[in-house]
Amino acid sequence: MATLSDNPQQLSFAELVCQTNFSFLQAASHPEELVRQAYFLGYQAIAITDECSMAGVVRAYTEIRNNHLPIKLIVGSKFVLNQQTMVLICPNRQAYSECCRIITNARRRAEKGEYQLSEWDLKTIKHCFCLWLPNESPQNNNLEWGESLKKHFKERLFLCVKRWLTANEEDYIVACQTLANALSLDIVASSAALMHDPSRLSLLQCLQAIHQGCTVSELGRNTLANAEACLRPLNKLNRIFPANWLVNASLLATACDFCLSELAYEYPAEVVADKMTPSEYLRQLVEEGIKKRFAEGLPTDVRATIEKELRLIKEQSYEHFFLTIYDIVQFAKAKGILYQGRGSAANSVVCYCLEITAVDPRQIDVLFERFISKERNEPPDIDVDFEHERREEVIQYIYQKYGRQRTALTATVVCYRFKSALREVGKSLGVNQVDLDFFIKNVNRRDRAISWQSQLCELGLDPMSTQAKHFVTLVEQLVGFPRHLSQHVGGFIISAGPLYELVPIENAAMHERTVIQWDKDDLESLKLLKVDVLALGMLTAIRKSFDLLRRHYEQDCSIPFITKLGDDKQVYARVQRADTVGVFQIESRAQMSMLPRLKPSCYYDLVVQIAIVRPGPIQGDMVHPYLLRRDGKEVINYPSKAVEKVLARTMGVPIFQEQVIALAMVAAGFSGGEADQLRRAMASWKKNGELTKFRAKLVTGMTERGYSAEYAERIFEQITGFGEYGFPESHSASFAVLAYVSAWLKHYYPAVFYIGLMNSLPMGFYTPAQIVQDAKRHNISVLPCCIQQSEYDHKLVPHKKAYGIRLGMRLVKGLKQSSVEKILSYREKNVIYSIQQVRNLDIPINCLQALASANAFSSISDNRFASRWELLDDRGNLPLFKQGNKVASKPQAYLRQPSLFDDLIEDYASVGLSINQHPISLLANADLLPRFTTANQLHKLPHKSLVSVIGVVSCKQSPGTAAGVTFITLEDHTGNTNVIIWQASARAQKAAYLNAKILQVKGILERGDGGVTHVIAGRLIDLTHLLKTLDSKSRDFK
Amino acid sequence: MQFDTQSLWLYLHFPMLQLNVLEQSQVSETQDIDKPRAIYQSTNNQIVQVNQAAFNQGIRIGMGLAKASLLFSDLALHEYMPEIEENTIQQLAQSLYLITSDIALSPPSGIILRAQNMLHLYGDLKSYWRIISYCLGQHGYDYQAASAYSIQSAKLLALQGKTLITEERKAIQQQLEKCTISLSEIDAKDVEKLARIGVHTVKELQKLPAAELANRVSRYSMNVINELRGHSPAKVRFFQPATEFQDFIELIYEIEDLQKLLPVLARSLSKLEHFLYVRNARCMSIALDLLQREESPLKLEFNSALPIYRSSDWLEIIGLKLERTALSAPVYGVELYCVNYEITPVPNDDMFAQKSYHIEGLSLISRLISKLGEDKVKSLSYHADFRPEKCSQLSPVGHKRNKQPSTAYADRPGILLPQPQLLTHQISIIKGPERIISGWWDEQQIQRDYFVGQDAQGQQVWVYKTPDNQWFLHGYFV
Repeated sequence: MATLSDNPQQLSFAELVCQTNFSFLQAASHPEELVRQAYFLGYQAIAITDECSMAGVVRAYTEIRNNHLPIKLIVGSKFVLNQQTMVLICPNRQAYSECCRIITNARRRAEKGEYQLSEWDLKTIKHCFCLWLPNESPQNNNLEWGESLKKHFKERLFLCVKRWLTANEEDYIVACQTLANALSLDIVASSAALMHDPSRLSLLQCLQAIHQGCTVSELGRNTLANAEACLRPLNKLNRIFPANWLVNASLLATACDFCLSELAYEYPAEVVADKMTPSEYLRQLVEEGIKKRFAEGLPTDVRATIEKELRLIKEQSYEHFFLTIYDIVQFAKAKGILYQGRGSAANSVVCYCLEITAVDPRQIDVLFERFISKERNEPPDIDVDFEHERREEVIQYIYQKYGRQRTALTATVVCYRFKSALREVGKSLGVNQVDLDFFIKNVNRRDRAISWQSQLCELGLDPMSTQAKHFVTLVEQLVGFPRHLSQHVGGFIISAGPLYELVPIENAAMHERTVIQWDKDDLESLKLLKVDVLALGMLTAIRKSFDLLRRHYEQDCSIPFITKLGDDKQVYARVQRADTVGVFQIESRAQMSMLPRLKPSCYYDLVVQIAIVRPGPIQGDMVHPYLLRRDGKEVINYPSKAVEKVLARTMGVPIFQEQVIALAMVAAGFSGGEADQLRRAMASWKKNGELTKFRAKLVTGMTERGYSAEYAERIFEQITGFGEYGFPESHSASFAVLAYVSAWLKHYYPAVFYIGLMNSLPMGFYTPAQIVQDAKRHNISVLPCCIQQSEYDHKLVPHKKAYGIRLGMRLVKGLKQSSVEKILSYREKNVIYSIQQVRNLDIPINCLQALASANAFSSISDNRFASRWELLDDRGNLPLFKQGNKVASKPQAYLRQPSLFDDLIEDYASVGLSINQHPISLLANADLLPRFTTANQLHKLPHKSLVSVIGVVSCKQSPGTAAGVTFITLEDHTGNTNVIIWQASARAQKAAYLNAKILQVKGILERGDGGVTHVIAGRLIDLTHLLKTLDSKSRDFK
Repeated sequence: MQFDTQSLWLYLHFPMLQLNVLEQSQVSETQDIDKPRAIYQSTNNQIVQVNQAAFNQGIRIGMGLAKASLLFSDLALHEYMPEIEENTIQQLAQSLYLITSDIALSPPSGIILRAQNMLHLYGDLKSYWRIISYCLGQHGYDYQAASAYSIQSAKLLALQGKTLITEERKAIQQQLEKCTISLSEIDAKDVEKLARIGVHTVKELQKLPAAELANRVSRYSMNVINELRGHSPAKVRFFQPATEFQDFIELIYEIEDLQKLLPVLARSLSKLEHFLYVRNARCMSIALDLLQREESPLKLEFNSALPIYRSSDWLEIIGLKLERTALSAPVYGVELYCVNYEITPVPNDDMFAQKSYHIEGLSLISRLISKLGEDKVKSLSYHADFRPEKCSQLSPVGHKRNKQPSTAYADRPGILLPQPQLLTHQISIIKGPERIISGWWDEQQIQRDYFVGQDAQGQQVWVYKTPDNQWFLHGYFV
């Protein structure tokens, strides 16, 4: 082999074969790292060629674009077929489409995560260049394969030689040269890189071990012999490759002109009416909307806003996007599916006119311009929530209207998180499984005071051992690595032509669903628009409530109807009392304890309320300043005019995600692009922890501009808090509408509201038991499940001159809806008077047993035990007994009567709630409890008084935002008591803290702002054993 | 199979057997037996046995691992191994066999005794029980015992923790009625069914009309119920003493000094002595497996020139050999076997007997092993590793051999030096480099560029260069 001299001549090189960590478990560097390294090494170009995938290319492209790196990105993909490796690279747009198409075909043929290429696929290629890496094993079909490739690809075929400095490589290279001569092919040099830097060798081998399901030491020779599969310096390449091979690579790169920025999105044409431009059609629709939404006349300032918005939309050519969403919501509207738009563009007047959202722009002073920001050049964001039970109809509509070729779901890249990384790295290093379980169970990631690395040492990892050092480093490196592609919750991409020409599509885990290989960030980078079709349980609940109002009150309600009525003092009064069980967004315990302090009294207060009880503002310590300023206890001041503009709406305290980003721009000097990166880093903070790199920039930027370092640190803390659960004003504004609507329903039509809610479960925060308890506290009659009266759903029934709730059979655990339907259709024509009748309906025995346990047969049987006893008799299924409605010989009556306690246990076991009994009242009536104060009496006690409370532990939370504190909710028959347990108390009384189902807490009553009452726990006493005593006691009494 | 509805049965339940066995094998007096300790069954993530100290910390049977470790992070956990318990009840049955005849095992942790026919021998139940409890006391395991006129009843009573030894049917019935059926052998599904109609105790169960009940539970459950009522006979297979001796001891603390193992072995050897004694037997060889953490078990064999049975004699022999034995990793358990306890004849072969080479080879190897020790006799095997030193390894004779891939021969010299030598003379490079960077995971990392070279004498050599530009000679091509 010819060797070149060592003199450093200026040489250009392009790496044409390079895999990123999106070739899952095959390569050990992020796309960003690879392009940065290639630039650093002075490469002319780099190709990203993941195996049958384009998932990593956009990240590489974005890295180059954002940092203006002078390096060319080439897009391609690697394939393995018949033990031969081919890399296709795309010189132009047609080639790119081809490549996407064959990836799609190969992926669609195989299971999720696999691919199956056929020779036919290769034959359909007309534009791509093909780099062929001949098989290295001595027994190969290289010549034959080369001939067939040559026959098809002709001048577009190149032979690619990688040199990894392995044993016997010379022989292979000679063989390649012979092949090249025989087939008259040009040879292209490559490193076939799997890493950006040799230091990633250990991580790469760790990934290979994970892939092969063994430990690193068991890999033996099934791994790399050295770290040469990386991007190598030019002078080294110069030494190990003949110059013309390097030149060939460079020439080939020059011939590739395709750039991802060429991917212009072609919108579906059918959303625009015939003979109209998109712009004209959008204006027409908006004008029609104005007549509906502003029937009483359009104020001039609103008209001005509309014009401005339309102009902005036109300038950015976003008409199709709005029209597509309009089309989807029109479908939902026609089908009576409730929906609500949210997101940066959703609260515009245009969207209000297009009926995408019900947020009346007059209620909220939000500028659409801020949402479609020309300066930040980010696409408009509209998410549409639909009723969770009917979203599938919307999805099917989209598939039907645009066809499966033109629409697919966006991918979500599932990344290694701390726990998965720890487990996989541990396994590959041969760490004992029990130890790994122990580490994973005991490392507290929320403990920010002690890093997980130190925690592992506390748990017994020897920090000085080499093994431990490898372990920690590899886990650190692996966190944030992509693991596999999953489907986004509801982000659709819809195109004019076949989607597979734009981006490869693969199968999702869910049957009949397909996902593209890019996630939402990738789409955003390429300015491709996606439509978010999301599911929201509260919309189902509200729609079901509206239906009930129509049926029983003849009142035609809708979200705009309620919002148009304006802020209702009585509704807000209830909200301020934190009487909000079941109310959208403001029902959690944390929200409920904030309501009496924040006292929301108008729509915008609700917007703030929803956003303030979030990790962002809490971690940024912004809640107290806001409350103080609201109560007029702190002066509202602004460090500068620019900041005032950003923060004036929230009294100078940053609450919303948008404000924090704007603050980074005005106060820390972030450019538009940087702010955009910051926003994205926030969204993926948990995944890859990229946010930390902004810290220094933010803090220096702010201190340089005269802000205190402490304030800057708080802002950064808030940013990381948003990272955990980002919450922008644009979303809060839409949620606040639903929060208000649900609060309004709860205030004026509580029975209707509870039924709507319970018929939409599972959703929200509360169990049916808690909702029923709340209903009873509001003096609503709740009637039990009954075989003669109940339907599948809960229903509104007249009861004692008012409406009560008749529980439906959906509550009965283990009962199938189809069984209920059989009962209901039988009941249409017959009266049920015996269990045998129901039994004859071919209902599975376990469903019947479930009904019996739920006491649904109480109207036709002595008690639930007797019903079950009768059903247990398997003779009831014999044909002889089925003929008549009555059992031939009546079996002996079942004598054992359920006690109150039995009823309670059976109620909880069968329907999860008890209408008549509460464990605490049962225990109290049996004189088993020590003296205690019930929840409804606590308000009578003075602040700081000693108190003893007893209840069922219904909720236990240790939020990450409250270091070491546990919030426990104790439920008794009168209501809920909030207990706060400090870490020390919990630690000292672990057994009771962890085990108690019925808990007595002796402590001090604290009453804070707005009359929020808590009990600070001193002693915890586990009273769970009393249930057993009660059990035997109630038996003795029967 | 035995059928019997009139006999009095005794049921012995050992609720903490594995824990007891573990704590008895404790290595030294100074180490704290009161440390909270629990047996954990990972298959269903449940604590199954806890000692008093752990109980005092709030650890309860049925808890998951996460909760238990939250309650007490220093809890000593041991994986549940039913075979330990089964083994132990075998041994218990062996010793009970000397004093009572009809024994049946109820694995993993129960023993059934038919008391009825022993009452004549011992006079009355009280005397019989005294002997039994004395025997149990010698072993020192926690137990719960109960007598009843059916095995199911005795078992249920014993499981409920009521130590009730009586012949009075009324007293037995009274206690039995209080028992909850969830601990009985009734199908879990039927127990659930019955609970859902308010039937939790034997008393409630017995109130139900049997004929009606038979239509509502499985046939198996109905048999159990009938047995509990005393209406149906017991079916048991009686215990036969084992023909081989085997004893496993899990150590509480891992030990590295083999001398400290002797007290533990003494306990096992006295069990062996007892085993041999009751069989009037002696043995010439016993085997001992030392289970080592992260290593394969160390297998030792001890031979005596004369057949012996006393534990003290064996202990002496073992002690001598252990002095010469080195451990490569701490020992966490020992297993003692005695398979052949009849006197084995001394082999009588001579050198000139006709044998196949294979047999000869094997017998040579086995002789070498017994003369030199197993660790001294090795064979060569191939190991897939990029590091040249690691490719050929010595491994114990009889180990499975890896097949060497053809590529592994390539570019490798016929003679590899045991230690690379600093290259002191000029050579010319013929081929290379082959770069090897490997072994970061076991702290024997190498980073070398190998070349095939030729020295002045025309000898082809295998040399390598380290990152700091040092050259070494590593082999010769022949």
